[in-house]
Amino acid sequence: MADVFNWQLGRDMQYPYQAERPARQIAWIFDTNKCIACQTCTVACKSTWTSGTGQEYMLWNNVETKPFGFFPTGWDVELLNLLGPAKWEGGVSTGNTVFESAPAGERVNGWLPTSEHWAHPNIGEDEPSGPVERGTYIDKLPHDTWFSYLARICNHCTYPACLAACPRQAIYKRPEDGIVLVDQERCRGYQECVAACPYKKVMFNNESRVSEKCIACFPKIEQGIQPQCVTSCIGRIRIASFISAPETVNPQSPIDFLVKVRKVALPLYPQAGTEPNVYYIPPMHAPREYLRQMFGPNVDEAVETYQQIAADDELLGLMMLFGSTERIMHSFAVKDGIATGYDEDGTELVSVPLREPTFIREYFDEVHNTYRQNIT
Amino acid sequence: MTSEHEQTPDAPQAVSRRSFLTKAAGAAAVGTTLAVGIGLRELTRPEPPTHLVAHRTGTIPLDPEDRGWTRLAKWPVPMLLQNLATPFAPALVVPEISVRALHNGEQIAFHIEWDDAAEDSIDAMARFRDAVAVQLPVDPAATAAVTMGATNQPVHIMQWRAAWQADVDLGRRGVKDAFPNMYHDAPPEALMGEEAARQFYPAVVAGNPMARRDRTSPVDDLIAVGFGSLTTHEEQTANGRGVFSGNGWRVVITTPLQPGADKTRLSPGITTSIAFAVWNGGAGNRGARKQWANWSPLEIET
Repeated sequence: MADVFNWQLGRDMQYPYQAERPARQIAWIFDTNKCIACQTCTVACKSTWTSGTGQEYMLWNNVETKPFGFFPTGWDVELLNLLGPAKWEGGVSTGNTVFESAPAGERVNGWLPTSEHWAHPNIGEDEPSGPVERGTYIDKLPHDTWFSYLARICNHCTYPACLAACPRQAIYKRPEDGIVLVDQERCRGYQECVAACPYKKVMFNNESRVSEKCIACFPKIEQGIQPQCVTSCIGRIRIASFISAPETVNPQSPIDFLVKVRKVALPLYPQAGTEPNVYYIPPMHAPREYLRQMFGPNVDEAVETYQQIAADDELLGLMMLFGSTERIMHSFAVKDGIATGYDEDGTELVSVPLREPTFIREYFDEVHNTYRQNIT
Repeated sequence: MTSEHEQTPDAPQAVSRRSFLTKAAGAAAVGTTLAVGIGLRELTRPEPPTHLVAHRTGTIPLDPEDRGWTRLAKWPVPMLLQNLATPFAPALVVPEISVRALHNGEQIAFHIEWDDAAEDSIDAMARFRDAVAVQLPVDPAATAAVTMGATNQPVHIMQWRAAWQADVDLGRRGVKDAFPNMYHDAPPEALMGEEAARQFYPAVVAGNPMARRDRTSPVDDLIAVGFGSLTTHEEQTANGRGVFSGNGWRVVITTPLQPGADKTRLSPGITTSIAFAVWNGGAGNRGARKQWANWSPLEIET
């Protein structure tokens, strides 16, 4: 075991290998407030990568409904059971990670889902947290009765549990962009990675008898294009770009701005200790206690900053740039009501207005003597 | 007997036949009375051999139920939990295997049997297959670490898997065998033809032996230089056959005595080392989660 720094935990932690951060790390922001669980991302991923025999229940991308949806079934419940309640003191995790809590003889504290766990990809869809009584209306945040959507892909973790668990080093993290891959030539199908991943994003191919996982659409990323799940998102909830190393903050970088400057985007179950690189803007209508469990102690600050977005031109501008270009946006700027995204060379990719011009019509249409359903 | 290794003082793994017999006699430390007793008992039940001898024969039967095998005395090998390298095997589920060996001057074969209440021959999510492996030092006269070899101490491993046996006997097993009710409306090969659909099977395209669809042998030749380094040999020469009897496995693993470069080359008259590993898939055994046995002497009859 080596001591490595995990900035999401605010401390060093134990990991089987020495820290070796990639030259740059691919990262994602998902705005859960805008997701409608249409599963376009899921279908885009599946039709691109996992249409083969043996991949029937393999969803590298899935969108689940919280609190009662999960794929595989109960993945997060099991993780929380294994780790116990998260403990944070002054922004520092004092609990044990999946590496530090590994039982004797194990590399990672994990569990192996059965075929039954993988058999219900959309279980719990749109199930609210409790019964909705007749006459119920919602007039405050967070909502008393709620559900929210959680889109999930491989987190391409800085300290992958899958990589740590593989006894034959068939999983590697690319030094050029931090993408985590299962070597399809070297894997012998032991499924140690499936058991180890706290997010259950490595899956076993029943036909090929090897493990497979999200490849971050690396052929696209190598050409400066965002992955399929990002470019297909009709709700424009996603962006993929690069995050700076922990000690560096680049306020022009879309990822750094949201994660490190405004701090509205948070890692999922950071206490697991893998330093995941998908960051979520938490759903502001969900109970804070539940969100703290999912995203750690900085949830309140994140949600409150996000709720002030109308008065924050930079934040608003960047959110308007989500889904506005297929290319990877390395930097952005907001000026005079226009947000502009740039590629790696500083060439403009796209410009969008912060506020779309809107025309509001009267509710009552006098010509047709009826009320309008849509007035904007 | 030919014993070139006997004359090599710095090759302790290559123990001569004579030194074995001496050792066996010494361990017995018996007088005439007891020797007579053993002689009488041999009339009803043969005494277990003191070490593994590959007896010379004419034809080596591939069928593990063949009398050419079952007539031979079994050599019992106590198995150990693999708890040297993580992940460990959680429990000793195969405490012992029994081994027999034959050679005919060209091929050498090992007959291994062990108790197992259930046949696990499906390789699928959270389901693992039974398996057994034989390990030999690539240099039969040299010492190799029992930990699947070490740097500059390569070992030649021959692994038989129940899933591969099913592939050979029944044709490549797949998702339809693991999950008979699986529905797949249009696999890529039905839409775009076999060649174009290959892109959806990266392990097949990468030549991963786990994904082999044209398997003719249930045994793979592998090379290792330490835990985690197991690599399939480019030239496959091992063969075998495993049969599940209802309460256990009987498996034959065969290999040429002279199987080619980078693999163990044996010849009649020498004594080398042999080690074993066994997996019970139903108990979650796979990879490092296995039972293993330390090196034992293997004598190849002249």
